[in-house]
Amino acid sequence: MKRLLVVLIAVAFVSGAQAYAHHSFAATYFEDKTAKIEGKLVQFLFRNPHSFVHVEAPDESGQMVRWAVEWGGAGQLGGQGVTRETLKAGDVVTITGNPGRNPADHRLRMVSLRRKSDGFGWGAKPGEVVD
Amino acid sequence: MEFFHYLEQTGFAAWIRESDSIWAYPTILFLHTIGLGIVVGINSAIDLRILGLASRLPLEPLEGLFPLMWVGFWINAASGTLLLIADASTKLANPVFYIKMGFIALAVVDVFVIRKRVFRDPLIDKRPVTFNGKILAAVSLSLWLGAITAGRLMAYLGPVSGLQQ
Repeated sequence: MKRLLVVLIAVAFVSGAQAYAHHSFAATYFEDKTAKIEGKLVQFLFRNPHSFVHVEAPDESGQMVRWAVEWGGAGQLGGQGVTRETLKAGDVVTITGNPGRNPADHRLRMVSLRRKSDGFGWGAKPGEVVD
Repeated sequence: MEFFHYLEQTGFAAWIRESDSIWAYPTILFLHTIGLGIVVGINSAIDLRILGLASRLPLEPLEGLFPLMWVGFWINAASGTLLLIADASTKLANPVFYIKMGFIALAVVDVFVIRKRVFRDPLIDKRPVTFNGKILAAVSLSLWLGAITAGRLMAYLGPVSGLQQ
């Protein structure tokens, strides 16, 4: 009985290691879909618990809207070399992300970002995920 | 409330909110988790003992755990205040935050009532805990469960910091 308990606890730990991070992003975003937007960055909120990049870009119907892209926390991004000075209002960026469950929010969870002017990118290196 | 909005504008609150150091926001959040582990853990163990778990354990000496429980409480009051001033506008507009505070206030009051009704009972450990004492303990467990749930759900319900301009 005791041995069974040890085995069960070990299994629980191992399967826990496979589990994805600490957030239930699935509650807020369609994790199996991606959307791509290209437009002008209007605001970069570098903060905790999550940074946000606001971009003016067209939606599916072509109408210009303000998208809000959820990124990592200031602590996480800082460890990856992203600072509050990395992006500036006016930068033209291409962003791919998981769309939010409420389309009216025009909300994405950052998957990758690329700045047109100098090719600065985020999302390709290991660890460059929002979790 | 105005006071918290004022604090939110200070450089200190901005440091908590915008620092990329692991010793800022992540550490404050970590301390908040430790504190709740202490206060809810100890309180729950005492509640469960009152409800009859591990009944061979004498109840009266468990009052010796109260000081550490208050340490946990104050760690959370302090870390929670720091988290609040970093983001007062959003938090104070979130109903779930008020629900959490309500649960905590009631749970703390319950601790004092249990101390008076159970631990100050002259017949403690000479007879089983009274029915009222057990109700107080069951209520305490429910209140802390409510507080923890509300706290966890704050990450998913209510206004999102950074989403609006």
